Amino acid sequence: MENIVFNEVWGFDIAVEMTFLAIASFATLFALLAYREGRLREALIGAAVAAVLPVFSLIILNLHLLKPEASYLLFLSPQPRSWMVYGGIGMTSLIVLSAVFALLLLSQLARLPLIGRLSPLAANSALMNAVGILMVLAGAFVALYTGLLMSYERGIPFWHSAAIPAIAFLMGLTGGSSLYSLITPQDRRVSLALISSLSLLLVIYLAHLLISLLGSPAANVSAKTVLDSGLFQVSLLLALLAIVGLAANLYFRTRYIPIVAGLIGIFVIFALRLLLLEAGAWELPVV
Amino acid sequence: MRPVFVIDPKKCIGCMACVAACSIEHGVLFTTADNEPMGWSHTQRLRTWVSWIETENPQPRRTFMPVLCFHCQDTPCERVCPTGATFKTKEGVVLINKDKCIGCAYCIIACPYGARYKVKAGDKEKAKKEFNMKSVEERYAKTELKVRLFEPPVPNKWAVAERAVDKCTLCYHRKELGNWIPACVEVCPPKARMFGDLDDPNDPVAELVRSGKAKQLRPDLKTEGLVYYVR
Repeated sequence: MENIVFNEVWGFDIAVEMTFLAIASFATLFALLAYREGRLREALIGAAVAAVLPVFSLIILNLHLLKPEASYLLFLSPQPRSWMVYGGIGMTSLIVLSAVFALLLLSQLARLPLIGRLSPLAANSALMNAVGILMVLAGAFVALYTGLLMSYERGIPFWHSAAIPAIAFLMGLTGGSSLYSLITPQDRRVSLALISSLSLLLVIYLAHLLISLLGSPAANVSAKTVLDSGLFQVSLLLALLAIVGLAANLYFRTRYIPIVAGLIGIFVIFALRLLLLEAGAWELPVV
Repeated sequence: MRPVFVIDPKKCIGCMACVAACSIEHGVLFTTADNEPMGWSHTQRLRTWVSWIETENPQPRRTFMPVLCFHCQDTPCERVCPTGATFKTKEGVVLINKDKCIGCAYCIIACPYGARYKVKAGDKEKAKKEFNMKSVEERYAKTELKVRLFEPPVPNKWAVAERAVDKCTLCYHRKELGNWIPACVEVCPPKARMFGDLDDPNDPVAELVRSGKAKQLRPDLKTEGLVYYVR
């Protein structure tokens, strides 16, 4: 159909940006849990990743703008009905809170001259838990935001669905558990988190594709484009292999399978996001 | 005044005079327009365009469809704009404050009608280097016509600007000059494009809307634009 036009505005770079946000968003949850169990090094890695990856995301977003030097207008002249404003606030909060959490952890782990002065604060578990919970909330919002941004408007029917924020949220959970599958490959709870989040992500993604096939012509074309794509088929196969491998590893307990599954998890959320973005299409009106 | 823009696709002959008039009026980069030579334009890098669809049954037929911003009253592009660069005038015309536009392109995503496009840095220079532009400049140099390419002929603060998203303004600058008829309407030979005032009970263009002869496209989207098509 001549009037179905595919999105060329948000593509590979935005998929990378959103994947970084997905990983960072729920790395916060695993970092907080690791802290609460006294595994400070593991907590530090997660918090540091949650602080650094959104910075890269902001850099990518800035490069995407026609006027990167004017991006401050997002904060100085915000339009409160735009999700992008809340996304900017959410990402900034995630960076700040994760950086604070990471610095407090670092002050406990390393005797560094300046950061070491923070150690009395880091010893205050109530403060650490409060910062940690705020960090997790900011992360959860950022994960959800990457879906709300896409699903809010009616222009692209494939995106205008309640499934998209749910998919984005599950991509965050999968990203966070994939990261911790690399950091703590022998933690069975992380493996279980990755199995369940990845499985649920696949189920909802497939349900979204099937429902879209029944929807408007543009949504139908988008869903068919994803289903016919080699990248989708490879991702689906790899995700299933990762789920089966991780499930088997609950008994075999090797460290390599969770590492490979973690890498697959990150690849899958990137691929599924890229497909969502690139298959999004408008149905322009015809007389 | 409540402006209304009516298009009669049956009258459109696809001459593109509207596109040329718009390009001249706003300094739009006509030569770099990334249009599809046949059929639907994929990225509408112009403020207005004429798409067409060809069908063969029951007999070969080409239907032209002039396109421009629908100036929605329930405005998706305004709603998603993070800096408030997109705004609506009291007449309901949707405009972009180019100084506030950061070029995030969220509005392009939100527009259900494909009416917005990016103008990147260097697009004007790129257009000026195009082969056919050079030949046009040379021809003009031999005449006494004082035509400055890519420069609007009349004061136009809504003219195309680099490093911002661009779209149709319904020639709002002409209202400020005291003669509000969009350039595309003025030049359309078969009068397929019409501009009127819904507040004027004697306006024949508004009457097309009031009588129901002209209707909005995609009413299911409930964006309630100012642009109607005779169906």
